Amino acid sequence: MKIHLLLFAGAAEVAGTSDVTMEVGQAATIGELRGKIVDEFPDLGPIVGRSMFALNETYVSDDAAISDGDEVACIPPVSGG
Amino acid sequence: MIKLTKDTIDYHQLVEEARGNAFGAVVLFLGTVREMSEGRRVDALDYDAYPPMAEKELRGVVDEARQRWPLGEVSVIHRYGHLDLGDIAVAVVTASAHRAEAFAGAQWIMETIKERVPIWKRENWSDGSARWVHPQSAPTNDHDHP
Repeated sequence: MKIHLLLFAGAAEVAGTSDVTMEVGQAATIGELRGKIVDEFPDLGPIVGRSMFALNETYVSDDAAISDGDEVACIPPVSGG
Repeated sequence: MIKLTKDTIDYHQLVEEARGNAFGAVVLFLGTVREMSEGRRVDALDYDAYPPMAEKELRGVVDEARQRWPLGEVSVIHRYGHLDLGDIAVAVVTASAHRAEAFAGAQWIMETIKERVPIWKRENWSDGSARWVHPQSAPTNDHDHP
């Protein structure tokens, strides 16, 4: 199944893109996706390790299951304000 | 009003909208672009954001503030895109019957924005270099509680 991955700020800069379509296995979790992102973009390892993830605009933990067509966002430590 | 915007923030209008006969206190906080950051001279900031989620998180932060303090009107506007020195990056307005709640609510809203709302700044320094700011302390996992 395919998911839509959003990258922001320093993560987007390192990856050279802010928007990636990724193929993941059935019943994949956010934790598994972390590994897959780093496989595809090895330079993202450090920042992905420090990031939260959001599934369809809601923060989730690593055991959250991903469904086909989901929008997944990698949220590095925020610095608004 | 709660929103992300690329436009200049009209804080005067926000304050006027918050005023009301039930409120004896209206607090306005403005976060503005400062020239010095950790001893380095900043020329400008660029903000990245995940606007739909950021607005959703801002609404959650305001809802939570309302559960903690008896607040009347509350507005939060955060800019994204390119900001120059002195520009207003964020405005928070709280109105309440008494000042303690209005001050406390505004301060808590700002602190919580900095922990959990998906907005990021890049500092563009006067020597031509730039860096996205990703604080070392991880965001809290405390997202679910009312």
